Amino acid sequence: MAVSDQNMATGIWSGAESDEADAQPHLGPRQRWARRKAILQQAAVLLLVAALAVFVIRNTVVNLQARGLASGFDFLWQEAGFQMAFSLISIDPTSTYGRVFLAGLLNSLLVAALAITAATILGFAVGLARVSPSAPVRYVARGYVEIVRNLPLLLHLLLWQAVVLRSLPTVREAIGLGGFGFLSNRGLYLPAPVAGDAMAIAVAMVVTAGIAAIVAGWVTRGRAQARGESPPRFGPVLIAGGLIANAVAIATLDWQIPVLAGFDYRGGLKLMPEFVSLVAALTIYNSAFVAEIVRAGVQSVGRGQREAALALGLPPKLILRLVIVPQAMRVIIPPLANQYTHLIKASALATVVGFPDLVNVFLGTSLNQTGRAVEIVVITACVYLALSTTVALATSAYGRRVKLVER
Amino acid sequence: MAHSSVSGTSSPLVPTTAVRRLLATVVANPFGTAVCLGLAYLAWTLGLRIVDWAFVNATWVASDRAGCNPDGACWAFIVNRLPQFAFGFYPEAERWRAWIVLIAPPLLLLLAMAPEFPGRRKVLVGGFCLYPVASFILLSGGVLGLAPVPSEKWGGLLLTMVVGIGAFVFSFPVAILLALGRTSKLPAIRLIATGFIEFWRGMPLIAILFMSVIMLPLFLPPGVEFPRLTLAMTGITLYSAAYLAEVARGGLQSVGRGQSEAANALGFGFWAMQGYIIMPQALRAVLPGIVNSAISLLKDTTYVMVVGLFDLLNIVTAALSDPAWLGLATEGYVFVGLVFWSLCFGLSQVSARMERDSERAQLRAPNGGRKAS
Repeated sequence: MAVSDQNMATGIWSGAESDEADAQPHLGPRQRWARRKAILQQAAVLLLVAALAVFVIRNTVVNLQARGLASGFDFLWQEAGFQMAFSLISIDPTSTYGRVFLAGLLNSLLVAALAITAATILGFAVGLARVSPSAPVRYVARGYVEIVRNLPLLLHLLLWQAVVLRSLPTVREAIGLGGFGFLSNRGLYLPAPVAGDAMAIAVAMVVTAGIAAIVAGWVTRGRAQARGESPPRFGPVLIAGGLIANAVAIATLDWQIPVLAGFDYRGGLKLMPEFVSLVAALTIYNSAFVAEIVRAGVQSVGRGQREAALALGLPPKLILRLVIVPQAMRVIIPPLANQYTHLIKASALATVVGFPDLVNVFLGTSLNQTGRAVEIVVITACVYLALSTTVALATSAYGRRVKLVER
Repeated sequence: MAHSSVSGTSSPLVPTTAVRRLLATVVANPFGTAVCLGLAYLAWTLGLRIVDWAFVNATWVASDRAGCNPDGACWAFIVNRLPQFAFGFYPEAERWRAWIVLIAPPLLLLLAMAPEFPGRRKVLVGGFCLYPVASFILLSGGVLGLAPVPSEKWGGLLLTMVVGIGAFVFSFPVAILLALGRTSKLPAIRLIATGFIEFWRGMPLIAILFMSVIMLPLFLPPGVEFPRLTLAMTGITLYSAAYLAEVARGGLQSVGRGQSEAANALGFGFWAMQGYIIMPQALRAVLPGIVNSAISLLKDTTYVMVVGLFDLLNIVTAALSDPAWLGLATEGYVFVGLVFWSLCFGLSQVSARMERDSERAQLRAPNGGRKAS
């Protein structure tokens, strides 16, 4: 609370006499009246809210009793007794509601993470095309944005579900993606490593080390450039070494390529069409908004910045990386985070196409089976509030870090 | 864009007209030329195919799917079902009431474009404020000798309009109260308003709709029951109010402190000050944001599908499973897309025009266009 007690007491809604009140220990009759009025007003509002709460709680208790519904959180340890079409952790009919909740949450997070990554990449590409020096590219990007963002997200989703994926060939005539993956109207088939042996752990460690080396090399190079020094010799070596280590590690894994057997593909990873259409719709829809955010960010950087950098003799590539992008990011990040929150919430649309996300399995099936409406709604609300709060906190932390320090 | 040349300073290097500038970027380098040629080729082939499908080979009149040319669009499906897509299952004898409700918003918008006449603003604001209540009474009937029509029979574009405009209008006063609460100096009020706003903003609309259909009946005294449409609209209204409140708060913060101090000095009470001095300035400042909220609300009305209401998108989806018209998802969704696209794009153009107008007004302002900080 930024406002002190005295401040609050004197200015009711407005800050008319607050400054004087801070300086005066003795309150005049008007100030005393104002302070009393403020307390009375707040008490009245609190009383109203409390009365509403009592009314609602009483009705809920009566209604629940009338319907013979049990309450309490113990159902989380009860057997759920249903299957999920897709889950990252194993779910069978003996799994508890708690485990079903966890599986649904992980599914939601997976959809959101994939869509956020893809929408960011696509959105940045389209956004940069929006400010491209080439007019035709600009027109195409503008057309894309205007078409995509003026259609409801649900329409995007149903279009992907009912038109795009249905018009794909059947499993027998699936489109081969370079011989490794296959795309058919039953979903997307991708190769997957055979899990569960010591080899996989070793490979994972090598991959981690390789990524660390790449990041280290990249960071040292960027730092050196930012300081105007020549980049260290070992930087490129680190990056190349990391890349080679990753490539070797991934190649040595025992990849299982899906093979057509009977009516379906066997082996590898099968992504159900609902999942594909959900991620595709979320990606396309949000990419248009990301593109507009990126365009606004790039255009917010004054022309003088580029001209000054040119005058200092920076090469165009470095101007983009060291002058334009850092300043644009300051403008881009807050609305971008807002868009991410939107996307996370919109992933609940999975319910419509039947993908088992949190809302579908928990707020839908579990609620229907157990009838614990209040408990389930409270848990779901807490999850989504925690997710959006996390994004908001991360954004404000970033905002503090990149805040413009003015002399 | 980056290269807007000042008029009158045409140098031989800078082509002045738009066409020349376009040509200059096209032939600037080989890569650009290749990209442009590729795009032109793509646009040509794609455009030809679309025109072939949608117009040349399309069938407009047929009694079922079999009567349609399989190479083109089967618009006969849309034409046959148009009354249903517009009004849902509203009884045919009472359609004139639905017509009035459907026609009123475009008429009001036309009035907004019309030249100024005395009292125009009052008619506009009053029209839109009365619209939800009036359309509710007119559609449900039961009074003034109108036959009662249960809300389960409303559907199609009619339902989309009623839900969209209704939720928007109802959420407006709630949003203003919430915004005032959130900027209040009283900690208790501020806390309640902030918690309320953040709760509704943090939840997915799908979950809110589920909640309002499942939870709201539990909250009400036993025996009190509302139709699904009312329950869903309550949820959408509160959701939209939370978003609109944040827009309004932005507007409140843009009004300088001197305004409220001056109003206090003149002896204005709190509500008079808000109504005559603060709010008109605050809301005008964020008018584009308000229109943008309306656009996203209009798109979000499609979510009522999850609670079993037949809005335009859902009624078309339901019609797709008609055995006489199987396999026409593309036609159906293209139709829905065209309707929503023209509504949303039209509104976004209105918002963009407002933004330009306010910028121009600021340039003309006596302080030389500086914003009050």
